Amino acid sequence: MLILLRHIGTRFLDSRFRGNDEAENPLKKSSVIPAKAGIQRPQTPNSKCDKVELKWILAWLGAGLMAAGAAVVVADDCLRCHQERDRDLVIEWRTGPHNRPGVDCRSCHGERHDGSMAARSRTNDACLGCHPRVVGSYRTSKHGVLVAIEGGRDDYSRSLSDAHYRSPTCAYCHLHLGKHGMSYRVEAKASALRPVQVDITNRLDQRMRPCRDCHSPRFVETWFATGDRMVEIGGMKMREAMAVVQEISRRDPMAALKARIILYRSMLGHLKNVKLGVGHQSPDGQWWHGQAALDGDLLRIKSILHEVLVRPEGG
Amino acid sequence: MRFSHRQVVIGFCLLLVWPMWVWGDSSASFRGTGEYGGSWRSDPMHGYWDPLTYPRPESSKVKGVFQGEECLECHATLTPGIVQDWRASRHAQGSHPVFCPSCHGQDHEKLFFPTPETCGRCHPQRLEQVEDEKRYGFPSHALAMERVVDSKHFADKPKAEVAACLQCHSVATKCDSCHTRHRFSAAEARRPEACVTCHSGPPHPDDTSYFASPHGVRYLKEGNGWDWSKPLRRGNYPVPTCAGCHMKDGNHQVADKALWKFGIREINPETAENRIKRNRWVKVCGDCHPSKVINEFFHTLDEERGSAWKKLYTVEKILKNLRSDGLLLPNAADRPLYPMDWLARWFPKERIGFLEGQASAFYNVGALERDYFDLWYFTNTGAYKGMAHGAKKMATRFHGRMVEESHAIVVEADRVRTLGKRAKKSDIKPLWTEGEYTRYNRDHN
Repeated sequence: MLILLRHIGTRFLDSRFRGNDEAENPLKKSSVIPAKAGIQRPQTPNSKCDKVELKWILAWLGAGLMAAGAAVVVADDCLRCHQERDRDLVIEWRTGPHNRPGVDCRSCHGERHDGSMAARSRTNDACLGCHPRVVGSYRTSKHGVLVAIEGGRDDYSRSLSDAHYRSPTCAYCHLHLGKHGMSYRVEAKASALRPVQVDITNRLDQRMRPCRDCHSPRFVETWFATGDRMVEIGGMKMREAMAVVQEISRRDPMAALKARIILYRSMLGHLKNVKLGVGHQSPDGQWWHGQAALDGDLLRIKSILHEVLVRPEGG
Repeated sequence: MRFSHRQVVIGFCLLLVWPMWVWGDSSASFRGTGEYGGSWRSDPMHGYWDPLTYPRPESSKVKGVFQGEECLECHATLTPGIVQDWRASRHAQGSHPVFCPSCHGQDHEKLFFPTPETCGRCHPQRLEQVEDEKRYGFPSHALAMERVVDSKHFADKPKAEVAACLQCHSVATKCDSCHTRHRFSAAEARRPEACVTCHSGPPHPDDTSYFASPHGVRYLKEGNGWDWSKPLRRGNYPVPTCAGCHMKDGNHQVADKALWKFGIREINPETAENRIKRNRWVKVCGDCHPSKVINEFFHTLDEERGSAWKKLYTVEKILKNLRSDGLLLPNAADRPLYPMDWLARWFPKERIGFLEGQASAFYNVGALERDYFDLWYFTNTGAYKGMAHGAKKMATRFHGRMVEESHAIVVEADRVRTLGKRAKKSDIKPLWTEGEYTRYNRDHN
């Protein structure tokens, strides 16, 4: 028992003091998850902890242990047990896009093994730290709005299936049925820059599954069919702009620089907004931050070529 | 090889039918409606946003006539979310629950989507209030669908591209924009969040302006704890929400106070009609504020609008002068046309400002006109919304941006003028009328 306590204690102190180099350690940074009503805030490393006195550390340690019989874990610790217990889950994570430097179990589940790890990771707050860009399109969508109105009253200990939530959260669709491979990515059929890939057919079917818990299959199919065409139309605008940029660079490399900045800094972002708008059912993302914004940039690029074409010699 | 007469006729008919087969999903694509209806065909999603005009026959293989609990038996497994929502709704309470067939019909092969009229059978007063909006013209909820289909850019663009327009403008044709299905909760619709799916984004940042106002700040801080089952009456809530002012006492008529027209056109607040509308506002604000404060507030708002329009007209004049001198790049004759705009084929004209229809002309134009569109439609409306919702800092910030953007347009206009005078002859029409998207846009309405 003593050995165990000492082991946990060392881990705890270790992790608290390592909080100092949070800036250099993205892994630590990503584990900071804001608390949601009804869900215990995970104990996160304090960047000022070098000033914390020993008695406070002991008090925290004691309180933490007494409160939930909990232990603070590090990534390897998770896998040591869960590799056996949840083999499929760990394999899904390993083969999925979340298996990347700086992201491990703690990034979403927090560090306290107190029984609320699953619930904590199902809240939207668990995702927003790393995916802030997505927030805009989801936040104003009906789904995002309903989650906000529910204000955490949903029971997040329930599984991510069978419409257990008033409205889908990030995890409900993207980790549907608790699958950790992010296989339920709402992948748009066509992309502006690469052609349709055959091997995503299965994924296209999968992306509709969470929706069907509430919506009719026909609605979901129609939504995505129209959405795919919308994204493809965005791609057409991109390709038309690219052709114009090529023409500009043939005639005037300096002017092409300005056009390229519009193309890659601005238009790519708008196209992404269209995709996110379709996936998150956000009218703003699809239109004002998407198609209407793409229109503006396309004609700005065309205006650059127009000027190059009519500019007098030597002017 | 010889063909009989019959074969030739059949072949000819097939040739006629073939394009319809290929281009239109005949089961889901219909002729457009409204002023330009002849120029476009609907997208399959249109049937969900305006089910009365574009009904989509049920394609389910399930046959039979079902009553009440029978529907729930299957759908509790098939679509558990909607059944749970319905069970939590007022429709499921009491001794006479409102079951699925009341709104969708009983025959599974002939199911339909409810429209405001369907809801109005039990909620006649609310329907009457919504319908009453039509007296006041735009902007209103009841005329929103008409507004969208009668826009030239909607009629012109491929319907999949503008599908999102219908998502919000369907507030005229369905009630679940605010009372989401299948809970249809009044309490939910009273929350400001219920409005922001549509009332957000660059042309109408109602969300950011309200949440930045003193009303909104307090709502964000305390709102989750308020009892939202209370009606929107005086004294029931510490601060007003969107619906608290715009739908006071639960009145579903939101157009009778629409004075400033979203900030996109100049109005004279002193006309007899606008005075009546303003008095309605004074009454709403009077629930909490003394009349002196209210009058001061409206005075500030009038000043803000005056200052914004002064800025806008300065820029508009510069563009119109460029147009008079034929210096706008490109000239209207070199631009793609709207399909219904036959007059413009012979008398092409660049549209500048609200009254000339620039609200539809934010594409198929040169960069300078688009910059003015952004200034007028986004930055100016941001300033208006900020001031009208009491977020003064936001209004000031947007006025600052208006100054910057106006200045940029003035500088650019000068450059275009200098360039235009020395411009060499060049065939630039293909640049504006050809291209992958431009061609697709022209061929798909």
